[in-house]
Amino acid sequence: MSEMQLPITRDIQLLYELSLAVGRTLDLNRCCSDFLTVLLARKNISYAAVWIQDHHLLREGNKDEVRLVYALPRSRAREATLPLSHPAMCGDSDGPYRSVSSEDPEYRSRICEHDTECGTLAIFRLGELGWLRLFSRDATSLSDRELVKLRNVVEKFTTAIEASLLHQRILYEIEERRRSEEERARLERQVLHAQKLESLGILAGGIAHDFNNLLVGILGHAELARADVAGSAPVLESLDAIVKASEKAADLCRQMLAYSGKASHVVRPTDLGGMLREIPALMKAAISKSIRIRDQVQPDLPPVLADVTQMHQLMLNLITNASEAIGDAPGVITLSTGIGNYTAEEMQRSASGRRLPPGLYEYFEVSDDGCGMNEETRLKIFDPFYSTKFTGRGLGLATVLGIVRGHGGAINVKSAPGEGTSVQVLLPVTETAPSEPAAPVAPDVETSKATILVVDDEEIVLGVAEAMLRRAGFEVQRALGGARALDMFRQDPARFDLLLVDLTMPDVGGFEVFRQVRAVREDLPVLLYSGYDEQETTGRLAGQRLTGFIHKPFSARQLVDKVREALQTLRPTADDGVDR
Amino acid sequence: MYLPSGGVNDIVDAVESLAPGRLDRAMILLAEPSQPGVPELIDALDARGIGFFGAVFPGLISGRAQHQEGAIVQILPLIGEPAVLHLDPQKEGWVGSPPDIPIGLKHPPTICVLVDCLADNISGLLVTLFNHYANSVHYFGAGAGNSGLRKEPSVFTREGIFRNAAVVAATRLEATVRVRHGWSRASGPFVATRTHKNHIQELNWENAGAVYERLLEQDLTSPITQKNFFQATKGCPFGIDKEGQEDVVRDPIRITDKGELVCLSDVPENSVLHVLRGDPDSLVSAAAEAVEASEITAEMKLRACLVSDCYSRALMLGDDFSKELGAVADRVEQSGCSCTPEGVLALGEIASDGEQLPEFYNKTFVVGFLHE
Repeated sequence: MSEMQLPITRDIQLLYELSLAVGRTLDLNRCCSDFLTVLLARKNISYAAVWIQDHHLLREGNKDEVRLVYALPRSRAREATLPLSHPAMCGDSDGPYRSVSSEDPEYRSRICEHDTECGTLAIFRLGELGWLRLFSRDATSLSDRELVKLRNVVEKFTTAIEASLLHQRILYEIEERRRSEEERARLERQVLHAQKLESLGILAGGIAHDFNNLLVGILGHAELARADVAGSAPVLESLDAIVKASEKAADLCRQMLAYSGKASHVVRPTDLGGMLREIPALMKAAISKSIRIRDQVQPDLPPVLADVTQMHQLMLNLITNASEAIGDAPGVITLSTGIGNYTAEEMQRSASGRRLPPGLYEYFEVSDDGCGMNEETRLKIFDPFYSTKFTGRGLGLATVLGIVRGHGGAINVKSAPGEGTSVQVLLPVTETAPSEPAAPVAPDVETSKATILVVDDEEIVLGVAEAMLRRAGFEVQRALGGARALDMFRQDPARFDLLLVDLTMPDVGGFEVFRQVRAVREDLPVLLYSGYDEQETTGRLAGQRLTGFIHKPFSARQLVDKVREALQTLRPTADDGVDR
Repeated sequence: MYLPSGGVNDIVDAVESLAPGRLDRAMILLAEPSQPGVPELIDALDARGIGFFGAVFPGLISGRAQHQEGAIVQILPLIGEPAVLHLDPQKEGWVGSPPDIPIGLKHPPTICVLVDCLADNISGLLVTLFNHYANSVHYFGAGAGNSGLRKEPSVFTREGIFRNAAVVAATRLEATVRVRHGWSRASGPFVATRTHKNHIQELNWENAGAVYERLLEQDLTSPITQKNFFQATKGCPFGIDKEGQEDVVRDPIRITDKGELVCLSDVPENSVLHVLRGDPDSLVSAAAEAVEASEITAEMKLRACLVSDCYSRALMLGDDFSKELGAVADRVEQSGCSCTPEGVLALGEIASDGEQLPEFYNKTFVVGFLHE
């Protein structure tokens, strides 16, 4: 090879290798690394760096800033970002900017690297994207001729960077889309789950209602039969067994109603923290000795409106679950309370089965460091009768959710296998406490001679109620359904001393019967009865002087006591809620 | 200091006799027969509270002689402790923290790199070090291992002896490092159109082995086989162009069944190669020239003259290798310095003045004069 050919061959070799090092990948970092590593390996260059305008790198990037995306060697770089107006970012698309320390008075202002005060700097404009900066101690390596030689390959490098940035943006957008689709799918799942819970709630409520009516018959007739059987007849044992089984069935009904959020409950201002603290002492025998209870209950939280009995049941349930999740191993159950402002999104994420408004919620939380659960289990824990235990206990957490739902609250559950579980129960913070019940009025009637109109759409319930009341000495009239009851009442409104009305009837419901009766006789005591929530029922009739409420199924004693109590209250005294 | 026996007790005694100071550490370069005794050596040095690092090589150099047995001990004032960097087999990146260099030193310190020559991605290690230190240091080092290229642990510190690893030590001494080989272009250019790490799979879009055999045809008395590969090709390495320097040599050490040429160092895909040729005179002269180019003088406070000369270069030179060592020793003596050149027959040589990306050379002579 001639002396003339040698440098040309060398140039071709260098440019060949450089041009093939460009664009081999769409990863920005590797794209820069491939090109600059070859450049430094083949040429006498000490430092190379790629700066890109911030807004090309990040969607929300600063248009007036330039960012270092790659430097070789990295430790020579002095800055990570620079203003676009910095003299280091010079040179235009016409050609590279070359500055030699010994010749250029502006040289020092253009450097942004360590130990580059003496040497030659070449700055290539990478289209509209940014700059490529090269430094060499040796002026000949970055001579004008060398830079012209590199010009085309740097243009190719610019295109490769542009492709990498575009690729990066596409990947980002795909990732964004994937995330939003995942979020949508999650919300859809959540809505479906909520709908499922709601449907199950309606189903459970409906079954419980009808079942309650049957139980009224079974329990009532068993009680009546028991009263009729003298001494120690063998049939007594069977009747007792029927009563016991009916009571168990009634308990299951209550759970189903609780799950449906329609359980009978009476709310009053309740100190959740105080209640929560008391539970472990009550459960001493049930909690393993190796479990430590950590008290993180905040003092002085405002009381929330809650049914104490139900909250008690709920806390027992949660602490039992926590204890069982830890088992016999040493562990910690943490009880905590607090108050927080929850966003709409946070409320949407929580389990409630309905859309709850954002705002202030007070919470109590039971956390354990037990076995935890996987996502699949976590999604099913509120399903009725779902249990991971060998012997499940009825509706379990489904009841918990029902109770919380009945209180207008929600539940957050966090859990992972081996990392424990925390269940947070949110209850809305209300500013007003319910008014105290009015004091009873002194009796002024002979209750045992009273005439009572019993209204129900179920023959069996009518029969039982009539029999119970007659045995107590009352005069009883029966009406099968609300329409028949109104007919009988209108015929002679003064004839009755008390109305006992079922809440749910297909023709004319208990509310309507009550309203029409009240329009005619303000002084007539009216008792409603139902398997549903007393609070909801009485709440709907606030200010209309409802005398009382009886929860189904009821015993003869409960019914007669309630009727006698109501008969003693001929004059209503309160103008809202239940009047006694 | 060269120790002919390479026994554990001799090495420990020798290190103690050199009375290392608080910040001094012993660099121990072992000939491969001493490799099995390294764990015992580590325990013995550790028990005496002596800091050290080192590696195993196919041979050692001391003055005008090469040795296949023994040890060379050199006491170096270190900055920090020697670090072991391991190759992460999953990511093929290097894991570990090289020693940090304090800012404001009077002159650039020297990074000694001893690396298992069979570790993948040695070029990645050198980029890692370059990114870490940039031009604040000089680099001197060698590829460690054994003459049979068996995969055995070869670099060590008090932490143990390792494979697929590098020991990196920073000495506060400044190094004047020079690199020469004396090979010159005989044919080419050829494009390494397909490579994978240190495997050249294609040359000029053809099977690399076939192209290489064709090039060497006139010199060959019989076809290239896996058995005769080294003998047949030892005088014909590849060279990669580097601006302002001799070509960077890549030494094919074996051929695979598929006709891939396996070099001692990585060959970048699409790099342009030439086949190099050399004769004993040009190689010997080059080594001597490296010493001359160092421009050392008697006035310099020299602490050591370290040599990293290629093992396959020694094999290729055969009896003439002693001429190379003699020429190097002569030049050192002529400069008026009292240092004896000491070092290793390496499986790859490492050098850089910091301004350049450190390179893992093959069939090359590297000399580093360490001075205050």
